Amino acid sequence: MQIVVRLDVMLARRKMRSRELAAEVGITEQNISLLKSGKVKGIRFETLARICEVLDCQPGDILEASPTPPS
Amino acid sequence: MNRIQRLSYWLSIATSVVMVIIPALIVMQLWQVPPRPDTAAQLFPGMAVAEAITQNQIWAAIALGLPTLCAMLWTLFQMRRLFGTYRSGDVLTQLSACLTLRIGLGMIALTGLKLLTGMAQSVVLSWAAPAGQRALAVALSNGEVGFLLAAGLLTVIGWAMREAAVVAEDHRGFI
Repeated sequence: MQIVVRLDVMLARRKMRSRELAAEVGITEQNISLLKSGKVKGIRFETLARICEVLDCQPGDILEASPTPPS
Repeated sequence: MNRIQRLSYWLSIATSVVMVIIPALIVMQLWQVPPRPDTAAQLFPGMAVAEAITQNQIWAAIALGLPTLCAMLWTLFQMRRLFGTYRSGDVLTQLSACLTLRIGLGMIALTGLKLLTGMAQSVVLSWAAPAGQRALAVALSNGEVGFLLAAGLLTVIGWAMREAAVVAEDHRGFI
């Protein structure tokens, strides 16, 4: 099972750019890019709460557990 | 620039200066007091020097000090690298942990080499003396014991920093 990040989908729905989200949440745009591409080891609850507050969504709207594709 | 970076900047410069001064002082001393049988006692204060000491024995005693000098310069070089790493803001990294460990091990080696060098030099300098008057000196001062303890402490801190660097690296992966 792997966690897939659907942040780009939510950003498109809210018509918001990564730069704006980064500024609102208080993290760097680079970290937002890393999160979107799933290249982070994890996300702090505090950061997740801020993102959900800014995008007016639930964690499940951004994070999805899906079976790991066979290699 | 935070305090770590500021102090590391000055310590890096100081270490570089010391790395130049130490060999320069040795060369200057050898220039001012040329190694000869009549100046051997001056070159090796506190050591028993045979009256019939030869020129080759004096050069051998000087050469015996080279490993200690090299170990000292190597340790100072690691220190300068560590200060450079801190100056650039990389504090809790594998590199800084590795350099801290190297400094500790270098200091331990330095103490050991100094002890062995002293012993070897005492034998060489007194070899020309008649049998029964030759010397083998083993000396470890309070200062050297303290230096050895500090070296051990730095070695342990280097190991601990390695673990801390792994945790810090893991932490950096979280946003």
